[in-house]
This record gives sequence, C-alpha cells and structure tokens, in this order.
Amino acid sequence: MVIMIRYRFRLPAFGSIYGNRQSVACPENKNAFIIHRNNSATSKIYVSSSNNALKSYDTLPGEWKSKWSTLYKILKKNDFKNLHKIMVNKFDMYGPIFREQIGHYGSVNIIKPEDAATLFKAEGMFPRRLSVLPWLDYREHRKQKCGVLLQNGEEWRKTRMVLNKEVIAPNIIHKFVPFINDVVLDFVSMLHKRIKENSKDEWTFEPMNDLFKFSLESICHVLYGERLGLLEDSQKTACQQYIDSITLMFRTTTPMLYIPPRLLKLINSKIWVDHVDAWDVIFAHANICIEKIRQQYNLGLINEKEYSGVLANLLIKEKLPIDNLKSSIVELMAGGVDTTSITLLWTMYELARNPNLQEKLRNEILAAEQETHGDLFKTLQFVPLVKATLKETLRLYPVAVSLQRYITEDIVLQNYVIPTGTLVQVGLYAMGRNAEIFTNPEQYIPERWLKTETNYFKNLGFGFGSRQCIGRRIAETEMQLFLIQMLKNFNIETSGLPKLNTNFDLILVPEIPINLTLKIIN
Amino acid sequence: GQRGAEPRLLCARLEPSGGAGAGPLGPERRPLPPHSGGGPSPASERPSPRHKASRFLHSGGGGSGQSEDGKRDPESEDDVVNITFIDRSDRRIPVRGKVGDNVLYLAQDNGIELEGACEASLACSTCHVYVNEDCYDKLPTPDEREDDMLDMAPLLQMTSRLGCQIILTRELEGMELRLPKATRNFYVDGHVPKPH
Repeated sequence: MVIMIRYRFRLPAFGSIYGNRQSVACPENKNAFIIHRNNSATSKIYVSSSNNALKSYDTLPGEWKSKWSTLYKILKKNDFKNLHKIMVNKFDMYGPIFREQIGHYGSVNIIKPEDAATLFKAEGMFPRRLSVLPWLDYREHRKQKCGVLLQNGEEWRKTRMVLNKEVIAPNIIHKFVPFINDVVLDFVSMLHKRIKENSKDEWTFEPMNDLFKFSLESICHVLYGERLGLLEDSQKTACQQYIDSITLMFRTTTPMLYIPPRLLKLINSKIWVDHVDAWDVIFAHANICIEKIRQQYNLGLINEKEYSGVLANLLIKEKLPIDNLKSSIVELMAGGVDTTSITLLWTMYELARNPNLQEKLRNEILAAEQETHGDLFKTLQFVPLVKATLKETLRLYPVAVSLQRYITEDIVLQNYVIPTGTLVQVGLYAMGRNAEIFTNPEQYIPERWLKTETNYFKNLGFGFGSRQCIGRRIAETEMQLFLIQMLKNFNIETSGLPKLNTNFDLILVPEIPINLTLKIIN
Repeated sequence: GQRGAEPRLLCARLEPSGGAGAGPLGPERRPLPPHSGGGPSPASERPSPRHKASRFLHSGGGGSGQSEDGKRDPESEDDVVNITFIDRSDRRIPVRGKVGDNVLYLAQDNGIELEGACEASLACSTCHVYVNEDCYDKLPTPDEREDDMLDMAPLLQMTSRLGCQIILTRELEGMELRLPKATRNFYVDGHVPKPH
C-alpha cells in the first residue's frame, strides 16, 4: 500500500520567513499526518497527531455556500478586471486557504509555497488546468481541433512529449537563440533609427505595441524559421489585426469564465461575437504561416540538415497528426505575444524606476560578454541578475494570476482535507505580494532571487511540473536577449510615473499606457 | 575570470558545506546541457521502445537508444560504470551502466520507479534523486534551469539532482543514487529529511 506523509520542507539555515510563524510539520514521525492515497485499497485518512486534527472540506472558510452571490457582486461592480485583487482581499480576510464558488465554478484557493508543493504532488500523470470554456466552445463552434494547450489525458501527454523535445528541451534552445537575437538586434536598430529621426539623443514613447510586434516577430521566427518583417517601417500595419485580436481574445475570455459562453452564444452577445472574431483572425493568420511552411516541406524545399524552426522540425519528424500539430502551433503563436511583451514592459517600467539596478545589470552583461568572448549562448549562462530580474517581474506581475490543477487524490492543505477532483488554485499574484512569503514584497529587488533565501515553490511564474508553460524556454531566451541588448544600448528612464495599477484581462496588463524614455548610451 | 552564476546557484538553493559543488569542477568538464551544436549526445535521447512496458511512459519516444548506439561496445569493460540505486524501501539495486548513459533512462531500464514526467526535457522535477556526496562533487554544476526545477522538487536536499541531467562518466563508478521517499506518485511513510 502506498502511503504519503504530508510534509513541509523548510531550510532552517536561511531563516525562511516561515520560520517565525510555523514549525516544520513533521520533525518526527509522530507529528506527521499519514494519509492513504485515494487510489489505494482504502481511501481513509489517518491522523496520527491529535493536536493537528484534520478538518472537513465543508468547514473551509470562504463564501462558497451561495453559488450566485459572489458572481452577482462581481457583475454588479463589473469587477472582472480586479479579480486578482479580490483574491488578495480574500486571503487577507480568510487566511491562507479559502473556498470559493463563482457561478458554477468552484475552487479552493491557496497562497503558501508549501501548499503549492502539496498540490503539485497531487497533479497526477495528466495534470489539468482550469478548463477555459470559451476557448473550448470556440473550437467546437468552428470544428477546430484542440492543441496541447487545451488537450487533456493521454492525448495531451503524447502531444506534449513530442513538443517538449522541440521547444523546451535543453539541447534545442541553442538552435533558436540566434533566431531570436536577430529579432532583438533589429528591434534595437529600429529604436536607434527613431531616436535619430527625432534628432535628439533620446526618445519618449509608449512601447506596448512595438513590444507586441517584437514578440510576434520573435515567436514566428522560432516557429516558422522566417521573418514577418514587422519591425520594418513599411510593414507597420501588416499584422496589427493579429496583435489586436490576441488582446481582444484574452479580454473577452475573462467574463466567460463565469458566464457560460453557450448562454452568450444563444443571445448572440457581443462578448461571444468578439471572441469568435478574435479567434478567427488568430487561426487565419497562423494558418497562412503554417501552410506556407507545409508547402515548402511538401515540395522538398526544407533542408533537413539545417534547423529551420519548430514547425519544420516537427513536419520532418512526423510524430504528430497534422491537425493536432497545426492547432498546437496556433496556440504557441497566440500564447507567445502578449505574455512576453507585457512582462518586458513591466520590466522596463521597473528598470526605469531603478537606475542603479540598470547599471548593475549593464555591468553584469559586459562582464559576461568579456568572459565568453561574445558567445551569445554562453553569455546567457553568465547573467544571473538578468534572469533574476525577470523572475522578479513575474513575482509582482505574474502573467497568470493563478495556477490551477484538478487534484487526482485527496490531499491535506492547511489541515483541511480536499477531496479528489477539486479544482485548487494557487494565488500567484497574491503570493508574490505577501509579506510573509517575500520580504518587502512591494519593492522590486531582483537580488532576492540570488540570495540565500530558499526559493522552494516561490518561482512559479511559468507554473510547475510537466504541464508548466510549454513556451517557457522560448520566452526566457527572448526576454533575456532583449534585456541584454536594450541595456547595452539605452538608458531607460521615466518621468516620475506613479505606481501603476494592474488589470486582469485573463493575463495581467497595465491599467494605463506606460510611457518610457530611451537615451542612447555612448 | 569568475565562473559566473554557478556557485551562487547552489547557495541560492541550499548552502553547501565547504563549497561543495563549485570547487572540483574544472572548466574542461562537460557542460550540461551540451553547448555545441554538434551531434546529439546519444544518452540524452530517449532509448528504445522496449520502455513502452513501463507505466511511466506513454509515448514511444525515439532517437538512438542507449544500448543501441552502435558506435560503442556496451560490453567493453572500459565503458562500464557500476552504480547503485537505493529505492524507496531502502533496497539497494546495483546497476551496470556505461559511459554516456542518462541516469533516468538507466533507472527505467532496470525497473526502478523514477518517473521523469517530461522525458528529460528539463521541464519538471519528477526524476529527483540524491547523489552520494563524493559523486555529487564530481558532477558538473547544475545549470540554472535545473536549479529552477529543483526548487520545485519535493524533499529537496543538499545533494539533490535531477536524474535526467546526470550522464555517466568513468569517474562516477560506485555512485549511489537514492530516490526521495515522497515524489509525486510514490509516497512512503516515515521519511524525515535531514536539515543542513
């Protein structure tokens, strides 16, 4: 019989902030919970310690008894944009665990890293995130297949394992480093050109849309091995429709997490119509790119010995059925635009407010380049502060404000027994801003990731486990190379922007446009 | 001439006593992951379909097999590396590997329950093992991607590594790899990790 010991891991050497508040749960066996796995012969839960009595699921704190009151409140105030902040308030109100029921959508919410670790252990072989109904309904509506993002079970795992080898495995990354760096260098040249046209040494602009173009150009270069040319001035509006559609797709998703899309479809609501239009554009554009590469492949125009991008490699290997492959590429392309560009925007905004940090990063980058004689791929291994900077951005501005899993066995979280099948959410935005988890959480201090504090289940910006963000390595590489080149070329400044507010549009976005000033470094 | 991030990466996770992990690594050591764009390392590829029987695998995988890599003679004594797995019930399982073998696949070949849910793509932490201290020092320092994954490994210890990132070399003769008592799918009662 397989049994499990619930366990909180703490590294006492570092005086973890938990150290003051809670003891290690099982310094000796007698204090441990020992529970039987749900799928073992018995599913009873044994408690071996009386001072830690387990509590039932139905005693969880939170407003979950009425299905509609929470939804009604959100609808009344049109508060979808603030769902991440509502979550923070609930953790303040109820403590580190609460249960919630918004319409049909019930969940248990947790905030502590060690609870995230417990959740991770129960994700099973085929981890499942929250089912995003509007996305599924669109595919049903248009008879499109789901790709890796929306698949589940064996099908998901099969697709994921094939894609892992092409986009996340360590031995593939160096192949797309030069692809991305080309785009980064073009982006920097474009900025130089604009500054020159401005006939000053500096230029103030609202970078959001340029960053969208940069990200789209980067992901497409990696996926298709070809440039779209979005950063050339003559191409200014070429893919604007695609970019706008991705933003619209995310924005229209949020309300439909709670209001059934089928209902909105029935009444032909604007949200549903916009959502369908957005996906239509996303699929159409991706299909043009995919078909182009497929044609080249079918005509034997792709040199199998030379790396020509993710899609070409997948076509050569023939490990995925074509419809599955196409859907997955559509998802990778759509998932690779707003996510990285907004993270870069937040990072530039924070850097503009921290000139000393910029200088420190610049020094690290220059030292790394000297050490590696300019070898790009090696340089990436000598810039820990650059990497920490991106982790710090994702702590304060996580692209996904929560991580979700349907648990595959009974688990115990904060002494509550959570039954198999429950949707459990880690409040990532709330965790990142919690003073018990991160010291001075409101301050942007990348160095915190380099220090001796344990990062056990704290660096969750890309999720965890085998279902974490599949674009992680592409995104990391893209953002690291971007910061390296930008900081080498420009000082990033701001005219005293106040602390910015965040909106939840399925991903976290700035409430108002951010203006930044670039000054050329001589 | 510093070695960049490496010493701190260890420190960030667990304070090594006496700088373990940073010291013994010469610059000539094979880096992980392979940096060069050269030929694929046979050991980093998924071995043959005979693994299909394993409950941990759901895709056939592909690539050249560990044992089917024709270039080397697997039985050449020079290439043999004897290591021992210590499973969750403290059973010692001696395994005869060879230079270049990936520890995750070697374990699975030998019926040892090491999961590897991402199939060595460095995208999870389910092939977490503890390496005996002597051999831990001989391993190339984990790169920051492995460290990031280890931050999500249950029961992390000072000598924790991901099995899929350990490639056998002759120096690793006699290595002992202990499986954590509570990885995701295998929970065993009674293990208390020693704090460092």
